[in-house]
Amino acid sequence: MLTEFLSTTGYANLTLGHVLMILIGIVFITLAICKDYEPLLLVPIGFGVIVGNIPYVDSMSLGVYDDWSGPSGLQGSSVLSFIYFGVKYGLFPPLIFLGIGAMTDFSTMLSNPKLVLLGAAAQVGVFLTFLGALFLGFSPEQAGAIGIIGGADGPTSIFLASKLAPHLLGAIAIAAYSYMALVPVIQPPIMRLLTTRKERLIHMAQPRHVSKRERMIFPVAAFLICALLAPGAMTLLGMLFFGNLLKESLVTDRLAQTARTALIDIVTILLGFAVGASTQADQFLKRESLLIFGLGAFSFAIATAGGVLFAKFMNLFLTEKINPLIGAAGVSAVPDSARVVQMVGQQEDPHNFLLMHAMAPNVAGVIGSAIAAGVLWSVLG
Amino acid sequence: MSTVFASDDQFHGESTASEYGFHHIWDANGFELAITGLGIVFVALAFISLFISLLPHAMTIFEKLAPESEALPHAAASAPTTVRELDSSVVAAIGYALHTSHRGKPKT
Repeated sequence: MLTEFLSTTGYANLTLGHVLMILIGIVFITLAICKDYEPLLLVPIGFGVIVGNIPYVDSMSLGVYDDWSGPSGLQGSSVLSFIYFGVKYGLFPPLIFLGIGAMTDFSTMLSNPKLVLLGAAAQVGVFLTFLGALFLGFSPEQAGAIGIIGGADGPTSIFLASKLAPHLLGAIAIAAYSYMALVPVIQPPIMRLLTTRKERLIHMAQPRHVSKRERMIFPVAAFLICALLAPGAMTLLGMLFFGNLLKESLVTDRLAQTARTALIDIVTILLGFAVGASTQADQFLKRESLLIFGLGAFSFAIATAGGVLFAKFMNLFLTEKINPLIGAAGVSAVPDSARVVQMVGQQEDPHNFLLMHAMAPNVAGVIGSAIAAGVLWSVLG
Repeated sequence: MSTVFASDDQFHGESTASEYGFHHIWDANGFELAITGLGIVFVALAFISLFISLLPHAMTIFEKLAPESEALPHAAASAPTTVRELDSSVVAAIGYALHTSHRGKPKT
C-alpha cells in the first residue's frame, strides 16, 4: 500500500524537465519580487509554471490538458483545464482589452495624429519575424502566431496563438510576457544605437486641447475604420474601444471602473496562472520553444528599430521635428515602452518630458498589433 | 539535452519546425503576405490618423450646431482636462506622476 502510494508521488515521477521548469518558475517569481520586473504578470505565471510541473499519475485529472475532450468527458476534466478554457478559446484576451480600453486615454494620440503612424511602423517586427519563422521551417500558421510576439502585446499573442497554433500557445505566451517584462532591458541599447544625441535632445511641442466630444466619437469611429478593414481584429478592438467608450462617455463610470480594476485584475490572475500551468515539461521543453524565444527577441528588437527609424524618416519631411525615441513606443507594451522612452530621453536631458508624447504611438501600437493579428488570422486561419 | 527536451512526435503530433530555407517562405507566399499585412496595418492607422486630423474641423461644425455644454451636460459638469490651460511645469509634474503611478499596472 505504502509502496503503491509512493509510486504516485511527485518525487517518484519527477524528471529533469520538471525540475528545470520549476526552476524557471522560481526565477520568474524571483525576478518579479527582487527586480520588480512586471510582478503582476510574472508572479502568476511563475507560480503557474511550478503548479503545472508537479508530476502526477495519468489516472488523476489534474493538468490543464486533462479536459473534457478526453474519454471520460467532463468527469475527467481538471479544475485547471476549466481555467485554461479562457486561454485555449481566446476568452481572456478580449476581456483584458476591455480593461485596457477603460484605462487608456487616447488624448495624446488625438492631439498629434501623425504619431499614429509610428504604431504601424513598429509592426514591421511582426511581419519580419513571420518571415523568419517560415525560414526556420515553421508552418505558416505557426509562423503567424510566433510573429505576433513582435507586437509586444501579450493578450494579442495568446489570442492569435489560440486560433492558429494552439499547441505552441504556452511557449508563445511565455515568450511574449517574458520579453514584455524585459522591455526596459531590450529597448534602450537599440534606441541609443539608432539615434544621435542631438535627436534624443529634441523637445516636442505641447499637445493641443482635445475636447470630450472628440474623445467620445473616437472609439466608435476608430473601431469602424479598423474592423471594416480587418474584421479579424473585431473581437480585440471591439472590446478595447468599448472599454474606452465606457470611460469617455461619462455616463458609465461604474462599468469603466469595474473594467479597469476588478475585471482586468481577475482576468490577469487567471490568464497568468493558466498560461504558466500550461508549460508542462513534456509539452514545453522542445527545440521549437527555444526557437520561439529566439524569434521573440528578434521580433522585439526589429519592432523597436522599426519605430525609431520610421520616426527619423518622418523627420525628413516634418518642419516640427519629433523625437525619434518615441518611435520605440510603437511596440504596444503599454505603458512600459513609453516609460522607457521617458527614461532614455531624461538621461540626455532631465527637462525633456516625453512620456505624454510616447503614449500616442504606444496606444497606436496596441491598435496596430490587433490589426496585424486580425490580418494574420483572416489569411491563415 | 535529449533527456530534457521532448521529441517532436510528442508534441500533439503537429508538424514542427524542420529544415531551414527560403523555399518555405516562397511556398507559403510569405513575402506577399508580409507586405500585404504590413500595408493593411499602415492603411488602417493612416485612416485613423486622417480621421483624427479632420476631427477638429468636424468639431467646429458640431460646436456651432450643438455646443458641447448643451449637448453633453455630463461633460460640462466634469472637471476640465484642457492641456493648453496648464503651464509646462504642471504638465511635467503630471507626466512624472503618471510615470510613477503606472509602475506595476497590468499591461498589454
